Amino acid sequence: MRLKPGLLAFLVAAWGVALVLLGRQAGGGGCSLGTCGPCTACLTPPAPVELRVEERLG
Amino acid sequence: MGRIRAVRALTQGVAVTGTAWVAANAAYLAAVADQTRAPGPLLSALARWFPFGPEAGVLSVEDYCPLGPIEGAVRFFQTWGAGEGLSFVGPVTLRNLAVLLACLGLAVVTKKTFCSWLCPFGALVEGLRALGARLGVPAWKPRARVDRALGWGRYLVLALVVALTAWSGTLVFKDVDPFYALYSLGSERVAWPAYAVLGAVLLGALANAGVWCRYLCPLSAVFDPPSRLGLIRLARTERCVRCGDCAAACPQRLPVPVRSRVTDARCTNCLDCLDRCPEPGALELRLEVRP
Repeated sequence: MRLKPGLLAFLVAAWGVALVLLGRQAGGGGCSLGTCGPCTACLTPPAPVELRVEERLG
Repeated sequence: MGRIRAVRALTQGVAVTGTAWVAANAAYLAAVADQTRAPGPLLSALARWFPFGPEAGVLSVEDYCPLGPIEGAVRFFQTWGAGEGLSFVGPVTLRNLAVLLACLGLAVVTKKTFCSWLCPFGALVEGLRALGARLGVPAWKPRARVDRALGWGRYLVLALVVALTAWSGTLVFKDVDPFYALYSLGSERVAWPAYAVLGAVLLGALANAGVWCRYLCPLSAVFDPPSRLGLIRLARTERCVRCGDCAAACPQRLPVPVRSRVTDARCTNCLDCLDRCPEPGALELRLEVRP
């Protein structure tokens, strides 16, 4: 099927916009350990895993 | 500049600006999170228009990097195979995996359009080559055989990155990644070799826009297999007079005049060939479901 070049441009641009919007929706950025859920409570980076384990074990 | 090229330049401009905007947003959030310093006056003035607020945590352009899951592929498959769930290296998250899958999907449908239409770094080096040409910097165009050999460099870089990441357990590429250096400019997290590579690539781009994209970029290598399938591809019709203008315009140096279908993995569907073609209808963009 023959396509207009403009359609390709539209497809690519729409893909880019959709990706940014979905990425924004996905959230969860900032957690560098990947061991906890999306953090929306504060700006403090999650504590190192060892520290949290120590806290839990007392 | 033809009409198609102008539209592509516009798309690239939006991609560059958008990425720079997110990078500025990230720099602002990092400064806010770091209680020892305050954001600069410019970042503070722009803050109200940033898309991500403090709830996003310490944001970085790497949150959207599709290469992260590939870098940590060994660990990912090891833990997945062992039934331990999905595990990523460093700051890579499910969002990076989603971006990677979306990029691969785009390549299956449209070939490597990500590289020629959306990649902010690709746009920048293209612009630099145009600037170089204006400044009188002679084009560096290696012989076809050398060019093909250098193209394997992307696979070498990719293999090294995956192997070294598996060995070290950290994202080693970040320390030499020019994209990361550019869009995290000034951040303490950027290692000096990344700035060195960035400088070398930008300088090289004045003479050849493909120094990074065609010879070194590991992401470009990742996109090769799905791009080979690319459903939207260029086709040459019987109206072609074999003037060779398309081949001369092709930044990938593909022999378009001897192809009935441009199915090459390297084709980015930039459409520069279509833009340059003097014979209406000689080159067509088609959707075809066949190899």
